[in-house]
Amino acid sequence: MKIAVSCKNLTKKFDSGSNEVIALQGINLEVMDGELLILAGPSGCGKTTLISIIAGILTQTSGICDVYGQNIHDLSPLALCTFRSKMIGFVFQSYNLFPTLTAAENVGIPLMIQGMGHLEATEQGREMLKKVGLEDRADAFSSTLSGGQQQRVAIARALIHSPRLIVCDEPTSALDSENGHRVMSILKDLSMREKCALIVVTHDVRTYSFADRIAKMEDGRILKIISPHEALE
Amino acid sequence: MLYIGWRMLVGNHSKFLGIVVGLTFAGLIMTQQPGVFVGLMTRTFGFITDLALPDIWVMDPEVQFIDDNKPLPSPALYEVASIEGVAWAKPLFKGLVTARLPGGGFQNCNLIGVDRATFIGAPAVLLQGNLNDLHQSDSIVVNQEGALDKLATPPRVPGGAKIPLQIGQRLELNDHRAIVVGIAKTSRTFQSQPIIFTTFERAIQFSPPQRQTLTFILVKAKEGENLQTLCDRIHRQTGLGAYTKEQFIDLTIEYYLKYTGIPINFGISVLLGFLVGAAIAGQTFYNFTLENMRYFGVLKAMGISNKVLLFMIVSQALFVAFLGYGLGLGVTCLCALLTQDSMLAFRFPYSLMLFSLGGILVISAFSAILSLHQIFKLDPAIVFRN
Ligand SMILES: Nc1ncnc2c1ncn2[C@@H]1O[C@H](COP(=O)(O)OP(=O)(O)OP(=O)(O)O)[C@@H](O)[C@H]1O
Ligand SMILES: [Mg+2]
Repeated sequence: MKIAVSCKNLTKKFDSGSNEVIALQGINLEVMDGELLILAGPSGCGKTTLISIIAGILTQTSGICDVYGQNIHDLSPLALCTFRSKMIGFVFQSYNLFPTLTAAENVGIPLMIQGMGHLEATEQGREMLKKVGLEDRADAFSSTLSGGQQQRVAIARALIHSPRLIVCDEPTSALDSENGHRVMSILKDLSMREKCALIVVTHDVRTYSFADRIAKMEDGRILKIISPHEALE
Repeated sequence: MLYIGWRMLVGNHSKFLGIVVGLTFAGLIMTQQPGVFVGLMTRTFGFITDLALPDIWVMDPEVQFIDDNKPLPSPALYEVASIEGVAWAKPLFKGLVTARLPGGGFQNCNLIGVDRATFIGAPAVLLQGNLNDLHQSDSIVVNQEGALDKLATPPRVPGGAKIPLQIGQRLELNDHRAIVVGIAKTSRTFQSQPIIFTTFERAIQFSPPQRQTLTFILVKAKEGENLQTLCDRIHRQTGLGAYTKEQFIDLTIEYYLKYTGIPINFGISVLLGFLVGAAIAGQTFYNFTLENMRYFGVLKAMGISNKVLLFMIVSQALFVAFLGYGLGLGVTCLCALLTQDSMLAFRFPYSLMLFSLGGILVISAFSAILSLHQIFKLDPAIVFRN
């Protein structure tokens, strides 16, 4: 199996005025192609910071972060944009769908960013919505969808451009357990089919069973990496 | 991506309406107020533009504006007429006279005396009567505004309508009898006094005795003659002031701008209106950007380039700018149509349209730059913060 993400000695310090916050202090982590890794840990331990660096939207203070062999923080700003637009898919806790666009249009956005015309991108978005079971809501404005539906649209959007890595920050924490379960199984299914790596930040113990491995974080460090089986015991 | 930008902009109908109303209002005050200002300034030289035929106005070299009456000695007329390149030269009397109205009141009026043979200097459009009736003794033509208002007979009952001055009615001009034979259409003038037209000779009779009576000499150039060269020649040979119509207009406007506070004060309020409009327009668009910051962050995280963001913002700004400007202009035109025949001074030349369009474009560029500044410095990492 190929290594999708490799972090070596990653640290991140935030300077918020006078006091300095050390969010990450020496992260070593590898994520494999086709793997679903869950990042778990108490609030403020640095989970969001870590996936932001891995996704190339935040720069580390020191250490190296390779994504599919590319040291992404060596890239020029424009090359990094292009890299993200091709390689990374995002799923957010609060969905972040554009409220004035239809579901299909929302799903098509990553393709439009890559330069595809909006009609074709929306058409492909419609196709993608079938895979998350929402073909009948393709023309609904995203603001009229339920939370679970919105997150499924967001998953379709994260996957439409066949990215190699998908990062999800608490994708189920705004959903009830039934919808959370559905969202996780769709995520797992599609990512396995596409053979991309998936990193999911979560507090939600019920999602652990979907993971291949679970990294427990605390205080900006990875304490241990365990199997779902161990975690649930 | 322009499509996404467009949908972000118009998708929220009530917010989009807010932006458009803001920009329409801005467009309105940027065009309507300057229009009134230009209209007001136009009135200062309305009398000059009303006279279509003459190319050149000759006058005392000290004259500073159209209502600055400094008459010339009569022989000047023949001197000017004999200058090479002059097709014809006609006298024009312009002065003030006190009229005693049929109802008994007094009213100061502008008195214009025109060449008896050609009527050059007389109004082009007569609403009632005939210019040739000016050949009758004591005859005068008054302008419509004067006839309807200041020269009209007061209402019989308090609060009733004034009775307009009619053809056949008599006025007393400086104790001379005058009979109205025509009602003329003229441009409004700045002072808005009634205008009375008659022949040159009769005008002199009507006005108080004075040594010199030739206020202006109206000159037509021979065909093919360069007007500026002819003006120079007239000035050189007679020592008189000679201006083309446009130059005389400029001279008049300059005088009003320089010596009366009105245009300056009005200009300041126009400028303020412009700035207020600019502030509203800029603010509404900038607000739109700020409200959508989260979505711009999402686009940035997904890897949109700054170049594409620039296209998006600039096209959004241009779109709302043109839409708001167009609607504002529309409302302005509507106002202008509705007030066409009223007291309101309003002129809207093309140059003003370009000027206010330029203004709107500057504003939208400015707010687009402000918006882009915020978006460029936006950290895409905010997408994971709630
Ligand atoms: N932009 C920032 N400026 C300053 N401090 C920050 C910033 N972002 C994160 N931090 C700090 O870094 C630490 C790690 O934050 P992070 O958001 O990664 O935690 P988290 O594990 O995702 O927490 P949660 O489970 O509550 O989302 C926290 O102490 C946080 O206050
Ligand atoms: Mg977090």
